[in-house]
Amino acid sequence: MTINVTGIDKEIRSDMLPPPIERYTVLGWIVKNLFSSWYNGILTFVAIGIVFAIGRPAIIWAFSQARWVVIPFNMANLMVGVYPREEIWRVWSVVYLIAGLVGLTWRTQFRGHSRGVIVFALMILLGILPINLAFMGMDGETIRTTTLPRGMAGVGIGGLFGILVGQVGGDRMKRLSTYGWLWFYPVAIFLIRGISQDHSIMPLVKTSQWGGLMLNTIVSSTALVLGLPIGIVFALGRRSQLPVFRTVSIVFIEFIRGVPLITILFTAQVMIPLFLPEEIRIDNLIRAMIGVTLFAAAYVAEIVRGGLQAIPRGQYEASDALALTKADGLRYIILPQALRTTIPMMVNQAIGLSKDTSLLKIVAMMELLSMAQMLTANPDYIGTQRELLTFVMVVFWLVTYMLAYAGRRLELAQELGKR
Amino acid sequence: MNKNNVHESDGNNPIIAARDVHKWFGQFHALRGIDMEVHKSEKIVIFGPSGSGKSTFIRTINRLEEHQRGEIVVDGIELTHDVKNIAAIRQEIGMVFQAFNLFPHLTVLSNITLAPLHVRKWSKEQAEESAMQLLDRVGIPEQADKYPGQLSGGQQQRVAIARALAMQPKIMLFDEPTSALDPEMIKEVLDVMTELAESGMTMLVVTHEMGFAREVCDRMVFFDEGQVVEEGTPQQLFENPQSERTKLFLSQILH
Repeated sequence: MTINVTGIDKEIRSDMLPPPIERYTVLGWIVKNLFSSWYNGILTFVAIGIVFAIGRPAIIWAFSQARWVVIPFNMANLMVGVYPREEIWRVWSVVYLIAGLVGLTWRTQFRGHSRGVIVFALMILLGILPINLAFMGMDGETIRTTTLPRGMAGVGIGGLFGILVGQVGGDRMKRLSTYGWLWFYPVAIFLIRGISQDHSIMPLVKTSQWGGLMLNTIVSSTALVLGLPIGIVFALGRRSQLPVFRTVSIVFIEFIRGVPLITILFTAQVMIPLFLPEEIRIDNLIRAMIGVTLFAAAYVAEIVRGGLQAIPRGQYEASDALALTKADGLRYIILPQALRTTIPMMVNQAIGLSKDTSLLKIVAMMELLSMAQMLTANPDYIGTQRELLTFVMVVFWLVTYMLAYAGRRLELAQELGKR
Repeated sequence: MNKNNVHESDGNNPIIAARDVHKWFGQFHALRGIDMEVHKSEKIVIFGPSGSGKSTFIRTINRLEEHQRGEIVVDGIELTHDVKNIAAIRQEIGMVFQAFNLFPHLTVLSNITLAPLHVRKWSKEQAEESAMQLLDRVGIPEQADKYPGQLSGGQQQRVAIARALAMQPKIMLFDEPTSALDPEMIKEVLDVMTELAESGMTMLVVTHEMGFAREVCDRMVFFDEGQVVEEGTPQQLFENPQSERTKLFLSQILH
């Protein structure tokens, strides 16, 4: 008995103690994490040595040997391919539109995460900084040095304008940001494509002239935007009670998943025209888009199926017991929860897909990597593969990191894990 | 609808009539010919050992489980494969689950208004006003904007009761509503159920809360091995159970 009583006493007393305060100093951190024992100390020095040995040549190359000038000179080629230069303002307006929508969305949907905006802005600046530096060393060259500052200013103004609209409009603007994104895609394609061959303001730009990072972005975002609903349908189909629907879904998912993306792209480019009558010619880009979209849909379907399986049976039962129809139950109860749990996997898929678009090179589309390789064939830029490849890597990394970052913000905004 | 109301108001027709209900799970014969009639405003407690089919039986009443033989008629509508019949019957029946089954991604208020909005097609104002009245009734109006995960078990179960009541059902099914709760929270849920019983609701309650049964219910039904072994008023069952199995089971749960 007495043992029990003292035991309880002790617990209560320890509860009343304040939590221990952990102090961190730079030196404390170094000692704790790098030199906690003699062998850790040795390991630290060895590791520093290895990093230095590997890193030194890379740094020397980057700062004294590399001819970075190839990149700003060909920025337009890398970003939009052979898109007519006098029409580039249309691409820029799409970029400004994105900036405005991002600003608006941030203000209305992600309220209270101001730190995120700063990190995001810093990343964009960091990405553009090396290009800025490169510009400075180019006196006398014929290049329009106004392009980049103008573009940055446009993005900044667009973003600020979006934030301002969200600020002034308040909660009503939440809807605007949603509709804005829904309308963004058709508007962007319209701007980039133009109206007709002889239109005075917006002449048609054929898809064969689209290229560079713009092409990667268009294909991957199309595949994601269209792949999600298609994937959801197939995920539901695979769990359907109806044998026809289920079989079709299983065959589709397993077939597409079992075939490499390159094969699908080749099939779309080479085989489809063989099966269709000669009068019907589908645009190359659209064929590639269909291929990538179906590929994405098959993977999204499996992700969504995983999310659906994570929903406890009780949720379906509660939905049934409340007399909700199957469709309403899916729409209001099951899918919102299932899709929420799949956000990390979806982001993963989006990242994979945006990198997979470099495979478009194989079917002769002038995406970012093909443009970079084509430039090295130019006599002026022989021997600049390393510079161009480094640039392509950095661009892909920036794009995918932004996706990952946006995904994490989305998880936070949805309070994933909190429930 | 009006025709049904006439039926029930003459008082002779049972609001639930189950005749020879059978149910198999694979080879396992879970319900072996259940006959039961429930009249309007009756409160019935169903009890029995686990696996006796008591939960399965009340789940056949709103078609969460499909019975394979016999017939079930709820408020004049027979439960068949007809989806319209099932939907109509489900609108008459509210259900409260052992695990609450609240929707974790929706606020308490949205949990309650969801079905009135999309099934009854009420306006948002009407649904929210009625939801707030129900939250008042179950004693937690201040929790309306929280998420289920932020509430205690007892509070969650009271929200679940409010959610079921929001459809203005004629019948309420309770499937072990207090079994997942900590002892100090059981009372707050039973109090709500007692108040509901006093308001004249027709209730079928699967529970082992014998105190609740003794005080509130009109009739107790003892299930074992998929059959109704014995039924009667609480007084009959507590003081003079006829079957040996009933005696044994009651002696075990009453200590």
